[in-house]
Amino acid sequence: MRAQVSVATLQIVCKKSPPLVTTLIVEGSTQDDRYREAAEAYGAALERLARAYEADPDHRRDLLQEIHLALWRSFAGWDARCSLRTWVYRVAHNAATSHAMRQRRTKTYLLLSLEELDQVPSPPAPDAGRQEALSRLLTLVHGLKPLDRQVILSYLEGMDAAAIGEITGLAPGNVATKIHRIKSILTRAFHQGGRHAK
Amino acid sequence: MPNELLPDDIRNVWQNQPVENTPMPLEEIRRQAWRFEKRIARRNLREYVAAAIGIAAYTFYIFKFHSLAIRAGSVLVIAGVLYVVVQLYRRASSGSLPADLGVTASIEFHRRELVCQRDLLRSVWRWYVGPIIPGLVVFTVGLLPHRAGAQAVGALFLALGSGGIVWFNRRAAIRLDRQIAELDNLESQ
Repeated sequence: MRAQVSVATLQIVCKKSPPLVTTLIVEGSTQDDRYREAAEAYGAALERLARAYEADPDHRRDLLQEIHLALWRSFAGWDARCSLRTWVYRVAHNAATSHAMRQRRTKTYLLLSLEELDQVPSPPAPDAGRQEALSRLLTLVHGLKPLDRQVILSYLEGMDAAAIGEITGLAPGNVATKIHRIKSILTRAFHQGGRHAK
Repeated sequence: MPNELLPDDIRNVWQNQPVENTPMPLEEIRRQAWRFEKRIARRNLREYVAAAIGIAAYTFYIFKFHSLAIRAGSVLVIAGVLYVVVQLYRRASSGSLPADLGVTASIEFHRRELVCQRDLLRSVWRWYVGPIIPGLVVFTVGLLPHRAGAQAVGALFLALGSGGIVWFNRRAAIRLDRQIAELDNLESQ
């Protein structure tokens, strides 16, 4: 028996977690059809999401596969109680959060909230091209706490406060406040001579 | 690209970043699911093999040594390991994500994961470390008869080792408690 206790190797989950379901036909559409539809509509968005959660290319590939697998499995329990978009983003964010929590057991780094990030001074934005702007944006997103990361990603994907609230479970007023802060952070981070960035 | 990007420009940069977007065939998904289950099964098997090796070693000691304390300690260690194996079997899942990801808002999911981890860290002493300690103490006493000093050193090492594990896990649980409180605070706003 190993003398050292490692939660990461034990992989125990809460007994309250619902069981896995493999295949089910829902509203005349199979799990496979639902998955195909979702992957076609949101494949690119899922790739962007994986990029926002995982900087390492190999781990990112694993995460993207994990998200697709979770999505396919989730459609066994699809009940149309929310839109396909909300469903896909919930699954993707939850799977990615789980991945990030596993990674954090092996890596130690500091994550900030939007409120904390708003207080961090930084050098002015360089004269940057699209690639540089994207890289800067990813650095900013990678440093955020999970929930704030979900809010900013949903904002970047073009969602409004109501949609973001539905995915994250935050009250719309709370989301609106966070969006206001995000806009302020982004404006200053990408403003020549501004004082906020990563 | 201008130096000053407005939030809408940044959204545009984000949404138009190059992506591979290679579709993942269903056969590949199923193959991944199968591989994943195999990997988890192999990991669980490793835990059970480690337990089997421990049991085999202490069974050997029962026959090798004639000291009553060593034999009693070995029996206690074996009983402790069996208890841990049963607990592992009862608590360990396939390691897959739950099926309700689509109906669970992310704040709720995140909180649930944190609570599970915290409870695990708090209880790990009770079912993973604690059951083996009494056997190891008796075994150590049997190994070093009539040498009170050495017995005390052995007991001290055991106490320090297990105390360290308890302290480390409690500290991690407190950190998780803080994160849970943060999420509760956000939910209540």
